[in-house]
Amino acid sequence: MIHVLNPGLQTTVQDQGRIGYYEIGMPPSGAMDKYSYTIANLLVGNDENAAALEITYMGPTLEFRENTVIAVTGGEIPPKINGKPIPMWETVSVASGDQLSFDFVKQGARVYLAVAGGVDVPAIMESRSTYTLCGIGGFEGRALQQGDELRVGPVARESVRVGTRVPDALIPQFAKSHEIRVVIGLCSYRLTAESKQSFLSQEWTVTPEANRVGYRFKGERLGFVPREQPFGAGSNPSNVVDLGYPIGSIQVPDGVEPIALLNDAVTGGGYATIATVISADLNRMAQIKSNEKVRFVSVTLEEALQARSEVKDRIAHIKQAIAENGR
Amino acid sequence: MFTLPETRFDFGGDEYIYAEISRDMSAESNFKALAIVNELRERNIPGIVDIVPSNASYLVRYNPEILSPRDLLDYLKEIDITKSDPAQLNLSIRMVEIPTWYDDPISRQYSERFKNRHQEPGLSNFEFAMKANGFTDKEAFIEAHSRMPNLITMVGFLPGTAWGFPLGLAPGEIIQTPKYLSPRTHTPRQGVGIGGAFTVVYPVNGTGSYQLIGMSAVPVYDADKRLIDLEDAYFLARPGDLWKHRPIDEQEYNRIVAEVEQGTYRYHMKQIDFSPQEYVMKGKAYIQELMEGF
Repeated sequence: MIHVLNPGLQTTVQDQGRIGYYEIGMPPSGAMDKYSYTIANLLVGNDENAAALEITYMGPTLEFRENTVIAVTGGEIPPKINGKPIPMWETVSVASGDQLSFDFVKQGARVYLAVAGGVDVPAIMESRSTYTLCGIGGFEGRALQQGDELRVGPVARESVRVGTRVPDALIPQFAKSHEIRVVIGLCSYRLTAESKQSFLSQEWTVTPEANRVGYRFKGERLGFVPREQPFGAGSNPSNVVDLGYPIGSIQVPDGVEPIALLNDAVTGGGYATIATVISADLNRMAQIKSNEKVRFVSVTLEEALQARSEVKDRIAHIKQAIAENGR
Repeated sequence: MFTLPETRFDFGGDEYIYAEISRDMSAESNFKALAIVNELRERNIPGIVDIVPSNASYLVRYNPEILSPRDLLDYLKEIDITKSDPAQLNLSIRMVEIPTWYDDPISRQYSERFKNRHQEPGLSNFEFAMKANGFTDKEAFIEAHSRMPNLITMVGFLPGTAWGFPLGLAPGEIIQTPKYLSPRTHTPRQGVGIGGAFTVVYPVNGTGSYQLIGMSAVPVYDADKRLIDLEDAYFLARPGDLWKHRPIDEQEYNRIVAEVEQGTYRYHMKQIDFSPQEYVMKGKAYIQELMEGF
C-alpha cells in the first residue's frame, strides 16, 4: 500500500496506454515519456506494461506501507526518502513507513515512479492508464488526491538487485530549447509555401497550455492557401472536413498557435493537420515545459524509423544489462 | 452509378497512414471509407493497431516493427481499388432510435448560460437553428430534423461522440447551423447538438460548440454498464450506424430516463443490409424502404 500525503501538481497512474479504441474516440492516454516509463519498470523487475505513477512538475509526498523496491526515471525532479536524496535511474529499496518526496524540478517536466508489482488499479478496456477528461482508468479516473491509498500488485517475477543503475550514456538530458523531429504531410497542402518554411524555421515558445492533451506554441502566424472551402469543411481556411488526428499531429487553428496533440487528445476534428511528431520524439515532448523553446525539424519516414529503432535499441541494451548484472 | 475520386495517402509520423478519399463531405466518400475499414478489419493484418474511419477519410495506426509502412501502403492501395466500385460497398449496419425531447428546458438553460459566446445571444439555440434554416413553426422544424436518419460517419472528439450526417435529403433540405463563436465550457450529457450539417449526441458533460436543440432520453455512453445493449461496448455509436431521432414529449422523456436509471431500457434498433449504390440511385425512397416498420 502507498499512502498519498500530498498529491503534487498532477500525479496519475499510467501504463503503455489504452490501445485499440481510437475508432470510438478513446485516446490512448498512457505514459507520455514511454522511454523513461519503460526503464522505471525494468529497474524494479516489472512487466513492461505495469502501471506506474506519472509525476508532473511538482512531485507528491508518498508514504510506503510495505517494504518494496522502487525506481524513479524521467526528467530531473530529485527524489528524497525521509528527506535524504536518492538516485534516479536506479533500483532503490524502501521500507514500510518511509516517505518519498521530491525537490523542485531541475530539468524536464515529468518523472515516473515504478514500484515492484506495479500500481494495482482496475484495468478499464485492458489498460490502467488514467484518462481524466472522461474519468476513466487509473485511480478512480482522476489524478491522485491527498488521502488516497494505492494498492501495489503482487511482486514481480524476477527481482532486480538494489543499486542496479542505468548507464549514464543512456540517461536523457533535457535542455530548455528543443529540436523536435516531424514528418511533414497529412493536410500540409493547406499551408502556403512561405508558411511551411516559417513553421520549420522559427523558434516556437511553449505556452502555458501544455499538458497531456497537447502542447500549444506561440510564434508568427501561418497562412493557408486561399480556396473556396469544400462542402462540410467549415468556413475558416484552417478547417477541413473532420478527420482523424494522429497522436503527435500538429494543427494550426486559424493559423494562430500550432497545437501538437498528445496522449489524452481529442481523436478527430475539423482542423488541417500539417505534420506529425515522430514516435521517438514524443518521449522528449513530454519533458518540455511552458516557456521553453521548440524548433520543428522535418525528417523523412525512413529517418523517423531509424530514430525509433535507436530508442528500441537503447531499451534492449538496458534490459540486457539488467539481466546480466542486476539479478 | 457514382464515381469516387482517387484516394490520396500520406504518412503521419512513423505510426500512421492517412487516406483522404475526398476533400468535401459526401455520404459516398463515407460509404467508401466504411467499406475499406471493414475489409481491412476482416483481413486481420498483424501489426495494425487502430483503424479509424472519418467523414471522408480514414486513419490507420500500425506498429512498424511488425508491419512495414510501405507494405501497409500497398495493402491499402489494393483495397482502395476494389472499393472504388460502388457495387462493392455494401454494409451491414444498425438502425438505432434516439428518443429526443426537442426544445427542452435544459437546452434552453444552457443557451442562456453561454449566450455571451453566441452570435445571437437573444435567442435560444433551438430558436437560432430554426431561424438559420428559415423556419417559423416549431413542429415543422422538429419534423425536418427528425424525419430522416443520420449516418454515423465518424466517432471521435471525446469518446463516443458520433457525427451524424442526414441521408435521403437534398442539400437544400439539410438542417445546417453555424457553431458557437467560442466553445461552451459545459454541455449537458445527452444534449443533442447541430454544427454545420452534422448532429451529435454529447456522451459526457464537456466542452462543445454545436447548437443545443434538445435532449436525448437515452445515453450514448454507459460508464456503469447498466444497460444490457452497451454491456460489451460502453459506447452506443459505431461508424456506419443510422440514428433516427424520434420526437418525444416531457412525459415520455421522464419515463425513458427512469427506465435507463433502473437498467431496464432496451435500445430500439435493427440490423440492416445497406447498399450505397441503391441509396445513390433511389435516395430518399430507399431510406424510407429501410425505415419501414421501424
